Amino acid sequence: MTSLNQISTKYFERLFITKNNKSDERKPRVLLVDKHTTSILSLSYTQSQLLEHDIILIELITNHQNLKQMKNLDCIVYIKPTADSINHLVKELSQPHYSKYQVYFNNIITKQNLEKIAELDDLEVIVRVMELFQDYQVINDNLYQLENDRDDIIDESNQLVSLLLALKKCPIIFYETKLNIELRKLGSEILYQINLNSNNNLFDDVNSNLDTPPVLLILDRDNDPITPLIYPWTYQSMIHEFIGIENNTIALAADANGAAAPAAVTLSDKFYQLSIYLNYGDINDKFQTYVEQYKKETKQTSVINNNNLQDLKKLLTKFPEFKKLSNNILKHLNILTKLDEQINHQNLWEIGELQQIIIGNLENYPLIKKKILPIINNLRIYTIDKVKLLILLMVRFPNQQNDFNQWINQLNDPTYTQPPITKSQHLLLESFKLKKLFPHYNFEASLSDQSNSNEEGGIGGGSNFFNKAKINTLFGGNHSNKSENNDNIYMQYTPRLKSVLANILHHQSVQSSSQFTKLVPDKVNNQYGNYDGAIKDIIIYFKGGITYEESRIVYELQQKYPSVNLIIGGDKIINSNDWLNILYDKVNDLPQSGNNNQVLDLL
Amino acid sequence: MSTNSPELRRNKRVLGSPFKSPVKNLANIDAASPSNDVPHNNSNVTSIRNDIDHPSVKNKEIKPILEIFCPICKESMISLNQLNQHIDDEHQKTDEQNLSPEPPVVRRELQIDLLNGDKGFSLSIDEGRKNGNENIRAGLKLSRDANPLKVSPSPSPGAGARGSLRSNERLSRNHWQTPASGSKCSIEGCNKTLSVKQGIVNCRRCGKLFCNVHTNFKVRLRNGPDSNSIPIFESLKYGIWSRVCRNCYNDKLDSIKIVEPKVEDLTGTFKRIRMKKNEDKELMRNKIKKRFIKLVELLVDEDVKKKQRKSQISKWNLFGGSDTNEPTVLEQAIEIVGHDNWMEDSKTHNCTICYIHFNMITRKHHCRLCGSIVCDDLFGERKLCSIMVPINQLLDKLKNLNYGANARSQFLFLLLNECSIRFRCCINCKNHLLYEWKQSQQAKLDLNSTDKLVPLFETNKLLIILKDQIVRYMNRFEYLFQKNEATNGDEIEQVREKLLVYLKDYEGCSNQIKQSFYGRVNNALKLRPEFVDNERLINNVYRGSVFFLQDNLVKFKLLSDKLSELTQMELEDSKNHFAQIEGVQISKNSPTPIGTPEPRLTKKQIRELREQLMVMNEQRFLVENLIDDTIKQRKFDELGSLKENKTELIKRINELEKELGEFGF
Repeated sequence: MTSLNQISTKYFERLFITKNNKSDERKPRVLLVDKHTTSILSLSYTQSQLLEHDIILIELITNHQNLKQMKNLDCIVYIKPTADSINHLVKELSQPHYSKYQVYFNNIITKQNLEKIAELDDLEVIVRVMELFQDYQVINDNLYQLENDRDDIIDESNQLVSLLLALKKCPIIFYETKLNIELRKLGSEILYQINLNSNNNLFDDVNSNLDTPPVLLILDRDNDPITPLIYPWTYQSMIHEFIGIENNTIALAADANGAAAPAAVTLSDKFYQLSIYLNYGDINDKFQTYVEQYKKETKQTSVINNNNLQDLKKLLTKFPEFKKLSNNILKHLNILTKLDEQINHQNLWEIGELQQIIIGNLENYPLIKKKILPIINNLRIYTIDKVKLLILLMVRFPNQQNDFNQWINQLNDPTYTQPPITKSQHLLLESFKLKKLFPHYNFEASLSDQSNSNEEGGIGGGSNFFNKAKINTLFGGNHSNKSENNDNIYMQYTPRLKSVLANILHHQSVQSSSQFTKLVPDKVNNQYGNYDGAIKDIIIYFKGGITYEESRIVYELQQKYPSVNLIIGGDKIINSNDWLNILYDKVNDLPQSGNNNQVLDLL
Repeated sequence: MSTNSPELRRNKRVLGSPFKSPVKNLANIDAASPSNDVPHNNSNVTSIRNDIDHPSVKNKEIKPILEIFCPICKESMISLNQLNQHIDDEHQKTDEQNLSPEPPVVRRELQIDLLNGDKGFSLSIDEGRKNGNENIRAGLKLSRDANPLKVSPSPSPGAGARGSLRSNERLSRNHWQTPASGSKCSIEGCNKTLSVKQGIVNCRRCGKLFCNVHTNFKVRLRNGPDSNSIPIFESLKYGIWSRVCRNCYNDKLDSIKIVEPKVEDLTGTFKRIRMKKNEDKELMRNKIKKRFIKLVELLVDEDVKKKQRKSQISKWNLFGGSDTNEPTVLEQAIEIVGHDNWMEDSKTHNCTICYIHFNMITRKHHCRLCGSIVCDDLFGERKLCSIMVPINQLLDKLKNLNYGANARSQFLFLLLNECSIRFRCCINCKNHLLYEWKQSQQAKLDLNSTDKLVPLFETNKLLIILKDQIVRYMNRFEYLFQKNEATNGDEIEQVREKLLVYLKDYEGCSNQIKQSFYGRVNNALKLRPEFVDNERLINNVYRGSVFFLQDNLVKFKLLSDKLSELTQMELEDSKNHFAQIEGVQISKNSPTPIGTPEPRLTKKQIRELREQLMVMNEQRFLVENLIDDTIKQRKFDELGSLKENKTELIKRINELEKELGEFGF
């Protein structure tokens, strides 16, 4: 199984562990980074890890003018080969502050840039130049994220190329063809990069140990605009939805009673790693046992027998551990209370259930209508939740135009909804109602995709959920019991990604689902010929944003198919609010709404 | 048995036969294989197989089957099962090529049929597939007369010449283990006796025998370099998909798993480029230096002449005099640079350094050292392209050049006096000229720069050396501990002691940093004001050392505790043993043991007590550190218990020291 964390560890060794055994020649080192590599490094490595390897100072390369002269130190430069960073490096080299430099790039450096650096390294301070391929952020073991603040397809493809090189995969590229020019551009740009021979033929030998060609699957968020709107019920997704994860840290605001919570908390502890995919019920249970275990251990050792040296010793050796543990428990307690607060505040038990009922086709329209009316009319329900529910309804039952009109009016009415919907929200609802926004998206079709794959082999835990759901509605009068996987009413919906992947894994090829266009690099063609067999490596790239929920699904599929390697990522990781903001932008950009007021409304 | 109903037979085999190829379970690309193999069987084999399907006949019939041979390549087989697999593995490939036009479609339809349990196979198979089957049958008829390898269908059109050659090859099976009755699966711990039911399968790579379950893996192989070597992994398209055992598959997996992610070392390329560039630069520098020497000579000479002339010629004639002299100086200057290098005014429109376009205000100037045309960037708005350099400033910095006679005679005079001799020089030439001077300046600067921090770096160097030692001995210690052999009892003790010494030294160094860079303000560690500039650096060094020490002390303690427990046990064992022997002796001999004056403590006891004392001291250090931390972080609620711990520890240390008395350190 391919593990992104494992790759990070290997790169860490490359960067910071010197193979020079003569310790008296070793000097403490400074690490010069740029803003791109800072976030990559901070996601993968801790500072104490760096300290352990004598990295005693970390500086930004943009800051090179303010550095102090310290010839007793060596320097490691780790930058992304952008023009900006290279200019700074060159300036630093012309007036070096440290004694020897090891220069690492996290992506392919062009020959011109290499020459530029060589030209300005008059003093010959550089002792090593190396390309690593780490131009992406590792979030989970199977989840990466590209950094793409500018809308730059070249940069995006460069980052993906670096990922492919790190994984040592030279893939067949499949991109979704639904009139999205962006994906085609991206796909062909990557193909061009792979076929390009000027990069030291980097891709030549990467596949040499693979019996089957790997696949790069480029998916479009627009083909599944629903998934981000549905409230997630697993730990990592929930944290992102209700608190927001940024660079694997979360910002816990101070409590209402003023108790100062730590400003930013890093999420990298073991408890978190083990529970990111657990659902809300399970995570609460797990946390309980975690706390109890802590209590038990501390109680055991808290009775100090003065005369018993052994006990004392054991306690003391464990003391730092206990401290860490108690901090950790506090952290997760904070998070869980925060989540609980949000759920109660937004009436999420009710809304979440309704969302699943609508999208999972659990009940017929009149029943749903009966349930939705009190919610639309309830002043206490958040406007945003009403909007999300309506969008789901519109996607699910596109023919109930009259009801929708009435409800949109109610959302506009301050006596029912407080605050009333904004212009962007109004526009968004209208365009969903009339199918203006995603003319090619068809919910029914994506559903039938799913049912097909179910019939054919019963793949995936979410398979034949129609039946199960029906059984649920028949027997389970009260759905609020949250037990295992599929019986959990809050986790009925499975994103489209699952059916896409299940199709591929089941039919052993991508071709069978014809919504993809195939690009084959020359190297793959030479090695495998016109290959149309089993697929064992799939790298997924979600353009337009990925949700943690989808990364969970990939994780689950990976557990089910251990012989297949699955890696997923996107240009950003979104929650429902991020996605709504993106949708507002899209709606406002639609030609029909060329009214300036709406743009102003957004600001 | 009718020969024209292969579908029926296939159906039977797939659905009813216990010999269903395990390969199918793999859900691999050979999903089509079970349906492909049947048409190859000639009628007598199939009839036997049908017999086997009846359980009653089965056992009796197995022996005669030993005569079975492959209908395609005439290889003899020991069991039908093996024949099936043989056909799957060897002859299926060729079928697939024949059917290459629409394999995926066919495959899917077949699966649906299997799931439905529908017997009407022929209905779901389209025309093309039937044709394919007939092709095979035709091919088979031919193959019985001729060498089968030659008849195997031509490779798919995309394959290159090399590929086609390889795909016809058969994997060598010289190394195959021959099955014997009672032979077992070669997977360790499997222990299944190989039988028709369990499967008797040769791994195509290592050749050993395995059961069905452990040969459920597919990889691409090709023959090794010579006929006696085992097949090797081949991922290219001409690698033959073959059945291998779990071990071989795992061998392969190791190379699939990312052992080492891609890294591209550009150091060599970089150094080559740099060397070339630096050689060019060196050449350029020498050239510029030589020109500079000549230019200085010329200018000084001219200056002397001018002064002489000044004294001779009266002021009214000055204008005319300069008129005649100037061109000659310029010409000589051009001579120095070389006519080829001296850029032509008419052809140049932009400054060679900042690329500004020349006009009425931005004038063209020639650099007197390289001859290129540059602008005069008086106010440093652009790149300081050129200036009129006073000659003495350069001479001051370049005292050791081999100047000409005139310059040398005037050297001191030129240096000391404000001199009027200037020449136009571009920024590049200036940098070339002053390169060595700058480097020497830099070196001087380096010497003076970090004096305040020198002790820090010195200590840090020591820390690094100690750290290496500690890590090395720690590994050795762990290794010895895990091996836990009686023979290395001495060595482990030595290592332990060394480790202890190093840890102590490390602690000392760490404390040294603490003492020399930190002071106590309000009972909390604070950096001394003179080092605030380098706060992060010093903090990091100190923190790093403390972290390392904590980690390793804990580890060391755990190990050495366990070790002492072990030795304790051993000791007791030997004591018991000894006591027994002694008891025997006592009972045999006279009951009066010879009383020797015993020391107050035995050596063993002293060692143990010392050890305890050391451990306690370490504990105290740890607790003190923790107390510091908690004070820093203002967690006063934890402080109480920590302080209690500390007093307890001190108490215990005192007790120990008392007990040790004269045997203490």
